Amino acid sequence: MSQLTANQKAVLMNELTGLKRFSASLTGDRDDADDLLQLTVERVLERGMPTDAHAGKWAYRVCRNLWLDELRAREVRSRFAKAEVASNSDLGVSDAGGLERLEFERVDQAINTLSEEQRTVLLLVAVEGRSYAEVAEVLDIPIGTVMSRVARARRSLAEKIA
Amino acid sequence: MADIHTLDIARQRDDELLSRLIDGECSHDERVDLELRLVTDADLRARLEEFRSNDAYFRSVLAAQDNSVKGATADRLANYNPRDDRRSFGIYKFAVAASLVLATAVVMTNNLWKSPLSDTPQIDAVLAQALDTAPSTAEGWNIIDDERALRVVLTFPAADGQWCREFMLASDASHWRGVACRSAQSWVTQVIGREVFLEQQGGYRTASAATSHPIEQFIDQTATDIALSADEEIALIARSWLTDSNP
Repeated sequence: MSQLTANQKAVLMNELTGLKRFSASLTGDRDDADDLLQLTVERVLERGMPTDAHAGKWAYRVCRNLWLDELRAREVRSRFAKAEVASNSDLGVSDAGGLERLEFERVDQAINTLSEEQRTVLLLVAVEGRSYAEVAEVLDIPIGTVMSRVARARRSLAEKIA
Repeated sequence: MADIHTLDIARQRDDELLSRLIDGECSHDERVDLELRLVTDADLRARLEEFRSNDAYFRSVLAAQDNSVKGATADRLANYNPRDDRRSFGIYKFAVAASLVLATAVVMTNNLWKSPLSDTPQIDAVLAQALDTAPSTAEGWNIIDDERALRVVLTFPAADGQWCREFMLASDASHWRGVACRSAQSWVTQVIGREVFLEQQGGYRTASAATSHPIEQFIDQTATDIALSADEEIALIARSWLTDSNP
């Protein structure tokens, strides 16, 4: 692996906010998301990437792989200690007022009841504007799976919000 | 009961089609068929609006969350010293890094660039609509009608305050690469040239490596800032290209 180029660094800087959302989607917890993002940036800077790699896609994949490693580690730890289930309400929603806030919370709750897989794929497509092919690459799943997962996520969200 | 099961499967299939329509992932034929059905099927239209509305909710909820990046993380990256590029590539190369690195082959002959050309494609309503709404992408094509496919490569601010987009336009007859800028709610071609896109392993790459490329020259002379990030571009499209921070 080689050191990042200036262009790759610039792309990565622009992707930080999206990576934070991606981390939050994976972890469902604000503090974990911060830690995961920090780990991702450290890993990318320490190990670099191929000169012709797209820094954004590369970082998303690193982020996802680090989270999978963390999940495996937690699974091992949970054999010896009761797992602590993070509350999805800990995502740091900013304050809003009155009815708007109630509606906001209803939607927020609906989103948080989506499975991590559905939430993540919908985030990448509907919020980050990634193509199905890009999402397939980042998540290392077939494009057909992306397609059906996005549709199921929208279907689930419609049922929960209705 | 069998009917209910069949209906549910049909509904799921429709949901997947609607989802792909929203995401610009339908084939041309699928899109045409679906749009015809949407004209006559009120339930299908309502479902489409429901999905779009929920997407907007999703975006607003996420936008309201604390998406700030911890100072230590941002600082770590900001203070990182990248490898020096051999040349100063400017905005165009930045965009190439952001959008075309997956491509695997490049072929272009210099004499393919002829501008202006008598058969230069015009920005009609369909193409303008696509330029208004399509996000930039490194791969994939947006089929905009029977004959043309579009890929928007990047969006950048011009010195005169307009937003400009570099795009690739492919048809059976010709392939084009150009830049159009948005002026008075319409898109005006600034520079365009014929080009060859060769497909290999599912990716495309054009002659972007040629430093004498007219597009690069245009962008270097016109752009006042680097290309928009994906987030910035999505937000700009959502605001119909209106912004307080219009360059």
